[in-house]
Amino acid sequence: MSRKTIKVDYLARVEGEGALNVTIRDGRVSKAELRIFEPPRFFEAFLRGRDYAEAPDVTARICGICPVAYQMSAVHAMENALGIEVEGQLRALRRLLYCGEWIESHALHIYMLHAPDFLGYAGAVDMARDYPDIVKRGLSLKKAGNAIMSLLGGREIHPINVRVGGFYRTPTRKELEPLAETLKQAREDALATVCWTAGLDMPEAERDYHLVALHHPDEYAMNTGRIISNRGLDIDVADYNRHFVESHVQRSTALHSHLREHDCYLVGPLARYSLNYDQLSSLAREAAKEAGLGVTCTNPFQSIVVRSVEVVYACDEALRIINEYQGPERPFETAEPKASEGFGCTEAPRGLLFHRYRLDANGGILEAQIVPPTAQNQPSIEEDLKDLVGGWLDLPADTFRERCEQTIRNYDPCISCATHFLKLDVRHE
Amino acid sequence: MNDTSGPIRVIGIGNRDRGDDALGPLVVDALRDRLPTTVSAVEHSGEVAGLVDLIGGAGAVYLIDAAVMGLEPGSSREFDASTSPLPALGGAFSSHALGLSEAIELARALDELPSVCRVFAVEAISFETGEGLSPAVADTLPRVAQAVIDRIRQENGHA
Repeated sequence: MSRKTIKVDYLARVEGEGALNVTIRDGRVSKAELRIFEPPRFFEAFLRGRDYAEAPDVTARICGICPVAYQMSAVHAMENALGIEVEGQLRALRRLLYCGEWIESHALHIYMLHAPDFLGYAGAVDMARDYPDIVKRGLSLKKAGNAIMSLLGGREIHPINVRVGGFYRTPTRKELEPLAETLKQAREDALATVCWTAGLDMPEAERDYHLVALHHPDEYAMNTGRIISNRGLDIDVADYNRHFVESHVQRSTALHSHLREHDCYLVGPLARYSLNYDQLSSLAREAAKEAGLGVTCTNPFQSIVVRSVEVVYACDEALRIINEYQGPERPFETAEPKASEGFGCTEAPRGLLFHRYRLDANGGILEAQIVPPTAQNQPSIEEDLKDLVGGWLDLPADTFRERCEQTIRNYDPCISCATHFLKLDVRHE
Repeated sequence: MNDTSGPIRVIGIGNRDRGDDALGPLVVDALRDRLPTTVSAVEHSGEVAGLVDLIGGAGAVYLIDAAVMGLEPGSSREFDASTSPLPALGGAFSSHALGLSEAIELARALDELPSVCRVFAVEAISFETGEGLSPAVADTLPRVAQAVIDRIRQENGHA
């Protein structure tokens, strides 16, 4: 029986701290375990005793990249608890804000974090020396997303303008107009991004995923909808805990999520794209087709192309919302606090983000539950590695490690959000 | 005196609500009435795309940031980043939050780094949400503001 250990001390270009242990026995991968050692952050405990109105701003602090996702899931859960319906232009503005986050988060991951893997660079700085115009395009796209977040959210990081029931202040049509010009250029850049990522050297890999995403009958789901899967799951957000379970594993400070009946599942761009393809804009579908994507995608490495398609969609959708925008009569809806429980689930750039709150009669938070996408994808990351690593055992050690890191970066994991990243320890037994 | 074409920018990086991370923005506050109109002082979150833009469009940049360098709390260091990369300042491991070092190196790789790029870093103690500056960093703040003014005067002949 052969035994060999390969160690990588830190996985770069992912958010947070963790490590990977791969055990190989008789030439086969017997175990692939993500060890997440970033300290727990206790946000759910911080929220207890706080007023329901504070949840969007407190939870926005969980992540500097996807604060809107946390705000959106929080406000939807609170509105669900209090019986507030947010419709019309307020709902559209929230979708516009989410488009901004998808654009800036995806652009960062595509250009700065993931593309260097495909082109053989240690990072974006090295890549920028050889591909300056491409990196500039990525920065420009990210800025377009930031511009939306600054205008609607009040600032680009940790926005402060979102509140339960709507916004503290809504923009005028005139204020939104300059964004349209920025977004027209961004849409062109996004289309070029799809072409460019489609031309990257793509490792062969097909995985049999249980894909889970929000689905809305009338739109590519971002803020609202039912939770569906490619294996027949179709549930109301309020039933999340009846179907999904979080468990603690010793190797990780982040909880692992499983489907009670089907074990691990995949959330994020591949799931959204494969389950909601028909609801992409015609421009985004056309871009996907030209990139060689089918109506579903289960090659995790192609997530970089799918993210690019989603950026096209987000630009397109943002422009549609701006074009149709009429300032709402009032910036927010209100309701009296009451003893209640509420559920919210939205599509963060990395996938499904579930929030649940239980409130007392005065609106104080008695209980909070937050299930971020990276926690849900952890088992799937391990399954990808277990399934794919076996084919790479003959690669040189450095290439092997890089391929493992690339596999993990396919998920754009946010360990800081989940901690609730990466040393690699490969053990041959 | 350096030959700088393009605006001269003082950029205070940080978050006013995160303990010693507020240093950069507070130095910008302290400089506001003490700089000539040819020098702008701006606060920035450190978001990489925006920061590369601010650095790249300038003739000279003076960046102020709280850092973890392993020094005594409140200790300050000035780095000339115009010709060589910064030593690793805390937080460089985070991918999502590409840091100041990465922004400077991206600007350099894109051939957009101004001929003057100085970084004033102060050793921080705490980045806790909702906290103010620690006493050690607060004590250092006026000296850093003055050091920025002195450097701008030396390199640009005014301020």
